[in-house]
Amino acid sequence: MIREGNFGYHEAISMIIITITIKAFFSSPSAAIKVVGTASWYMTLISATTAAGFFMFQYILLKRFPNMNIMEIADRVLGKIGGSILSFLSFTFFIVTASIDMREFVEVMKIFVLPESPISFIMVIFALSVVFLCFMGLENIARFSKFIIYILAAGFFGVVLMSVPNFKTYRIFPILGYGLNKTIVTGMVRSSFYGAATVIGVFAPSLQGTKEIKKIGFTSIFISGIITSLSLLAFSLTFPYATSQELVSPMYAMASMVNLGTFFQRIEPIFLFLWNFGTFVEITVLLYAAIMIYCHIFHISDKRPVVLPMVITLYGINLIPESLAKVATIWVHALRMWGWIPYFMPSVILLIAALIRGKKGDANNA
Amino acid sequence: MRKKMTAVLILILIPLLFSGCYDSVEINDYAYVTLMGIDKGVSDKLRLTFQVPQFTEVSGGAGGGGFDAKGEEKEDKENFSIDTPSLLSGIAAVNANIPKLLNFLHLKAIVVSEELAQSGYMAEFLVPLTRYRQIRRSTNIIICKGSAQEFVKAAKPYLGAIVTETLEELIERYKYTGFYPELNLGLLADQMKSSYTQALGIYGALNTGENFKDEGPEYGGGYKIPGDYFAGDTPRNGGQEIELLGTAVFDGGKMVGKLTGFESQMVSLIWGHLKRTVFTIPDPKSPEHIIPIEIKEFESPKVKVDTKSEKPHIEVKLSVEGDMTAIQSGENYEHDDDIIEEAFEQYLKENIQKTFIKGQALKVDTFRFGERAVRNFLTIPEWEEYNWLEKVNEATLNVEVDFTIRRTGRQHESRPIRSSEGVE
Repeated sequence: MIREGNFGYHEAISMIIITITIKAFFSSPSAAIKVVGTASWYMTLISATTAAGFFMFQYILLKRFPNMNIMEIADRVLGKIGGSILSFLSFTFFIVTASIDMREFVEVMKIFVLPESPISFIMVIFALSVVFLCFMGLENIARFSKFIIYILAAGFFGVVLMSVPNFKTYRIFPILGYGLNKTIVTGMVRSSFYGAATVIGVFAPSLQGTKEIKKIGFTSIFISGIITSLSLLAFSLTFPYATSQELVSPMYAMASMVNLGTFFQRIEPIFLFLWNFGTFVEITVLLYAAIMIYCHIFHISDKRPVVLPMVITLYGINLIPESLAKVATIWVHALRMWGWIPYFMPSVILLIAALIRGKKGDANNA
Repeated sequence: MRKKMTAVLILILIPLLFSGCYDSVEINDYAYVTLMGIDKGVSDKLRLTFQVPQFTEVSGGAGGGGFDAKGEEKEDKENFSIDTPSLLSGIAAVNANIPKLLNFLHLKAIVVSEELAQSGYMAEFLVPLTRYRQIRRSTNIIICKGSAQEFVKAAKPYLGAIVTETLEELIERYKYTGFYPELNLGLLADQMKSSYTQALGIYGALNTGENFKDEGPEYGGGYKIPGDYFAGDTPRNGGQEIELLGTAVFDGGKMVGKLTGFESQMVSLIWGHLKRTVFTIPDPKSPEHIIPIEIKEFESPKVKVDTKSEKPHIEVKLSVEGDMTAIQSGENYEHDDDIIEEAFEQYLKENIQKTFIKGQALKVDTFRFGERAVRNFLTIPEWEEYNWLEKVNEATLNVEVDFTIRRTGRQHESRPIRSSEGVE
């Protein structure tokens, strides 16, 4: 039996920040720059604000149904069948997102670091580590996140600071990129970048009440917004908009360009460290959320027998895209453009339905 | 909890070790290319030349050449040349003939022949190399006069250093001389695709001392601007055969001209890249003499670009400070330094204007004023529609220079030289 356990504010925030921001290390920044040009660094703040607005719905919903997770709320508001259908859609989305993010990580790893290793080999090794983390349970994943976030933050700020000599301010001009309208619309649509904050709804009973949930959700989105904006600003200052949209991983390219003196060069290994640990946490959190939803739908009390089949499913979905180009231009693009619907809409639908049908949580749980 | 954490950490680290075992290659299995030359081929599209130094502990522990125990120069290196349609096919062909695998992770510079750069094929070949994982974006690019093959073969360590160190330090000198710009593979790709600016590269050549004449009539031509040469033309003898001097100027993917070392200094001044350098001006009162001025303090140049009028107008304000290092004529300029200041200001103004006009003739924004002009535009479509790279050729430039002499070296007075005939 895997114990969910309880964890606090710092652990939850660390876990969600890593899950959200790690995507900035892959192809997402290039895709954003392709659409909004030099405005990407503040476009992401619009995304964060939109995500915070959507999260408000989830918070109000969780406040209305204290000590219940989003699956239990769905069952209560829509009935067992309706709730299960909605939960199953969320489960599908979480596992597909985890798979695509894992495939992106593995592909980028193969391009930059392990060109000779077969992709399936890297995937199997990665998946085994994810299995282990899942067996450890949610509480341990959260505590592990808190443990490594300081190292990841030091590495991230280190890479950005060492890249300062390569920054050129003219590269963030024209300041409005491809136009303010485009930036605002894209910013709102790409709120899905911060969608991982909605795992709070799945993990709600493990958190310390609705006040904590409010703090965790908004703080995570706020800090993630600042970090993502900073990383996009750093890319924009390092690469002109024409070339930054070509790069598979602008962050890696930026780290590899650090050249302080004749011997302080080639610092990409620091970046690899951030990359590996951050992605392990992200994939595990999304997969664990998917497992929790699945077990709830099918009334499976012990998650252990489900972990391995889920990881095999993850592995299987991983293999669907033909190439990195397909992953980045079709799958990741679709997740960023339409992901806000499966991430945020279930909470909005449930809240509206709960208000219409007058459903509330148990008073004694409040 | 701590045990579990440790277990998690170990498990996460294990994959990295596994992958190392799977495709591990010993360091000795590779031949590390430090310099690559690209010429137009004879039997195929390209002629590639790879220089591979031998990494041993013999030469002062550094390897790759230098000096052995007897003090004799040691050049443990090998050069491969091959005619090939592309880099990868060239590598495959070389790998088939040597017992090691060519590896480019330590490639320091790519040398491209001027002929290839002028043909426009350079961009087609070089820019896509940014995709290749072994070649870093920070790899320097040198455009060389004549054959890149000969240039690569002539690269050797200087005074006990290794080839890579020699090249790296030689290229880094641009910060102190301004005689050539910085250009690496990443910058080349950025600048060739940029709407702000065009690519400017390091111009190099072999200088074997042919321009250094041992005999001949005494020079009587008057003042000559120091550094106003292209690489390979400097009258010097000894030192490295490789000479970097001047700027290769590109429009798009094609080299369209070049700037001399002195013109490159004018460009560096406006970029604000120079940290300290020496200029030599003719003596205002005695033009047959010169006054070397060491420039030490630079304020960032203030550049304003007006894009509202039909033709863009550029205003540049340059503030520099420096020292007089010698007064050959013996004139007492220490108490009359305004004359030198004004003369130097005029000297810079004229030469910046000349270089700007030369750039316009080549249809290139050599001073990168586009980096400033872009701030006048709010959106990328507006900026791209304006087409700065075309408009800059019609631009007018006004330069203001403010030069202040801070010190006069170890003397604050110049007394005349006396002989039996009196004061000279």
